[in-house]
Amino acid sequence: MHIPDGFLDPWVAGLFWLGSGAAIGLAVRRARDELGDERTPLLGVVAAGVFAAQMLNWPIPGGTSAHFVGGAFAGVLLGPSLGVLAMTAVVTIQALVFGDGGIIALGANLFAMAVVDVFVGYALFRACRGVHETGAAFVAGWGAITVSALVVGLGVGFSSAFAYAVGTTVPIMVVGHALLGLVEGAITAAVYGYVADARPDLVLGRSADEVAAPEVGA
Amino acid sequence: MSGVLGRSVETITGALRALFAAEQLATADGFLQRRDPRVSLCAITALALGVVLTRTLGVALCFAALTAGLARLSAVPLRRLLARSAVVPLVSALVVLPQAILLPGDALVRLFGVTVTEAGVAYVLLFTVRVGVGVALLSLLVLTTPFSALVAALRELRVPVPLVWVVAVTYRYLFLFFDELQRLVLARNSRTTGETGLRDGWRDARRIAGTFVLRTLDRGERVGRGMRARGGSRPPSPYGRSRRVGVADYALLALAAVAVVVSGVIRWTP
Repeated sequence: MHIPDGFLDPWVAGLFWLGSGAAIGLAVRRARDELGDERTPLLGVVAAGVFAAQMLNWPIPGGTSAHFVGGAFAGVLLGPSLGVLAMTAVVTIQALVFGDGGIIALGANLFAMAVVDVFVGYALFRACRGVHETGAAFVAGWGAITVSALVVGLGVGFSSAFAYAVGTTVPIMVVGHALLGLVEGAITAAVYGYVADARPDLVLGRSADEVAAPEVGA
Repeated sequence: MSGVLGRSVETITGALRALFAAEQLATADGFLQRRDPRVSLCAITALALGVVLTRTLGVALCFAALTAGLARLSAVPLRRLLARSAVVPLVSALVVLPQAILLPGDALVRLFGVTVTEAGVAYVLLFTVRVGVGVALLSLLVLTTPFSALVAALRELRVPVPLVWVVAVTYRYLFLFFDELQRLVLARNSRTTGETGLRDGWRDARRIAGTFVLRTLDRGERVGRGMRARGGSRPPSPYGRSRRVGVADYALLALAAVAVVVSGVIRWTP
């Protein structure tokens, strides 16, 4: 999912920077309102946990393994604003510490994995939780990664730097990630189910103020 | 260590090894290591922009030479930079390889009834070099600038303070959680005998991931309680301020600015 430099035209990368900047700016403002200046940094503890959880190898058929992305899970667990901030920290560290993606393309990677993934995951979970809670977590994980892939497909497809047009990039990205997203959905549902069973008070909508991590969100 | 789940330990170890190796190089005495981190960040970003702008192979190769020169001045072994940066451009080259026959143009060579065009080969080469230089530039930044210095630079470049703090705290707790997750996987593995099937593997992964998330949240609560006990202040900053910007810093910034302008002029000059 990480877009390296060279795939996006500068104007497309600039638009992604504008989009992610606006969304992250809004998330920062809401986080300050919700947590206050003193406790906002604590969100980094949860973000570090999401980052580390990405290292866990989940077995999939064929003897290979898959990794967790965690954007939808962060949205479901923390709510959209705090989830966006947590995933922003994760994607930024992936770029500036591990060299994943590109520096010009960082805005696009933030938009796909820290904004769209979190917001779509949160929205799908809220929309479907009335039907079945763990099923809603699955739909959130699957749908969020698929829509994020659509955004990446649109970005590279509209860039003249990449020779394939939207008609090629979007179907490839969406179909590929709709399949891979089944694993992300299953992991999101599995972890959500475990947390909901063990600590129902931490789950979005079950505590009085609809925020998951009490110390981070109270 | 056996099983898919057990390979998580190798994944974590690999990530830690890459991280420590980068931090080690970042402490070496080299040109980029001596630069103010704000300057390194801005100059590398500008050079990456210059590469992204170009549509000329010659210009892209000039940026490649500039990147190699900066690596040499910064005591970053070229072999190491290549090893770190090679995978992404090679995969990218495979992705765009069909363009060698799809793009219309003068025939370069005919193979098995398929015409490879000059324009197609030129595009594949340009795209691969452009992506490769972009990846190499980011790798150069990672290898020559400690992350703590980059965080300090972000603060001084007026990135919102709460966001910088979240990034800083994430980095600070990353090692702790890598260790925690590694111990959970090792403990599970030591209690498991024989090969585990897909179903058992998922059950184990679910338990480990669930327990890990709960411990993460618990750690967040404890850190918060600790902060309240100290009077509710922010955790103390481990990151110092940037150094003073000197002549060499301004020279690097000027070089990067000229490179972007020249790349843009060459692209848009008919």
